[in-house]
Amino acid sequence: MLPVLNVGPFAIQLPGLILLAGIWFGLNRSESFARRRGLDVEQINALILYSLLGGLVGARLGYIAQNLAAFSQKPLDALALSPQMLDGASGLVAMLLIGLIYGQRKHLHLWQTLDALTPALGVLMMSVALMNLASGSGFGIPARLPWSIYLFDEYRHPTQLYDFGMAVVIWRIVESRPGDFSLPDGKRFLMFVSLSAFARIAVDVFRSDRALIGLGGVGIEQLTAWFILVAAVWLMQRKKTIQTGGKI
Amino acid sequence: MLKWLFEKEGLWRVLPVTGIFIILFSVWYSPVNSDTGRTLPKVGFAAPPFSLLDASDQTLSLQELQGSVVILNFWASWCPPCRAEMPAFQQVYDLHKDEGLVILGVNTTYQDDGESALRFAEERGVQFPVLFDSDGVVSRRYQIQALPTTFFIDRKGIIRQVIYGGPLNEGLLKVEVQKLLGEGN
Repeated sequence: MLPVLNVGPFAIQLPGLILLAGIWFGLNRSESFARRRGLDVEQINALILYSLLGGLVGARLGYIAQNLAAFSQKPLDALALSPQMLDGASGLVAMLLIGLIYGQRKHLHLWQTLDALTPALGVLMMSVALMNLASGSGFGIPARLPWSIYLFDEYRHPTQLYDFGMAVVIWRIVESRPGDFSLPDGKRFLMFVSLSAFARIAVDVFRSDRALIGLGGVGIEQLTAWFILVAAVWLMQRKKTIQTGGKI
Repeated sequence: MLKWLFEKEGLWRVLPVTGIFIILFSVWYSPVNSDTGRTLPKVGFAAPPFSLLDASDQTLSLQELQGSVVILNFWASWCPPCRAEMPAFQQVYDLHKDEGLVILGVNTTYQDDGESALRFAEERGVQFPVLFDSDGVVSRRYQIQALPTTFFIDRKGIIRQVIYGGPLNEGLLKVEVQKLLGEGN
């Protein structure tokens, strides 16, 4: 666990640095994929950029809107460079909205665009796992295994490394054969979603900080991931049915 | 691999079913709340207990403050963001001290000068207790890697938020404090 990296007089927040590196590398991969698929790279880049910026602004506005009273006396505090002052849900909604608006205005093909974004999402999943390793989030249950890591006064399952390993495998799968046009549009994205959801369900078995719901101790994230998995598999089947004229 | 997976129709149908089995397995396998009650400087854990001397040589213990919302701010007088955020802490303290907010400014005296720290606190009109970690034991216990580092502890003594770096502004502090104060006893 290394949440802060001290470089001379500067204290660099390592998880943030990993996220930035992940976004940069992910953009690179998506750009390369889009080029090989013959898509408009400029438009894909602009879509990602606007969505990210919109998400960031949306997350800050959402946070301020929810805590308006706290900023009424010093409104300029709302502009502070604090990553804590972001609301994830608002950011996600803003990001999706802006992505949709941009995509519609530029007449981007939804499934082809999602396929082009898939390599970036794959890289992002890897960086999230490394961010968790740096910050100590998503840590595992105590276990004495040859590969256990010592964290928070205990030998534990290295769940962040399990996550990272899974993310690397999934990324390699979804990034392979970029020039293969025999795969239906959207299949690559849906495979990524299904495999990532399945990985979440599997790794959460070993996580200590699982949030539980009252169904005999079922994890919220596991259950959410399962619904996402079912939806993605159903969509894959549906796309196939449509493509083959109703015959699977 | 992608092509192979794509062609494996059955695999995709089996995944959701396998997912259900894994979820059921995890309910049985994972020792839920295996870390409950552990004291660690990490969100979700009980704040490690400590006792330190304040400016008037009185001992102040964190354990005595159960029932209050506590902000634990590790700082040094030579650290610019620590200096910059001190007025915001004072403002929030003035605003919420009667509702059960306690702010402890833990000076990392082992890497600072106690007199300079005290002078700085007086100049800035700091009213909340300033404690002196002369041997660095508390800073080590809280795994301080950068200054300032701020812990937000709820009324039950559980760490709810850790912020590395600064300066923190009044708005952010108010949001965090009001959230914890609003939870009641």
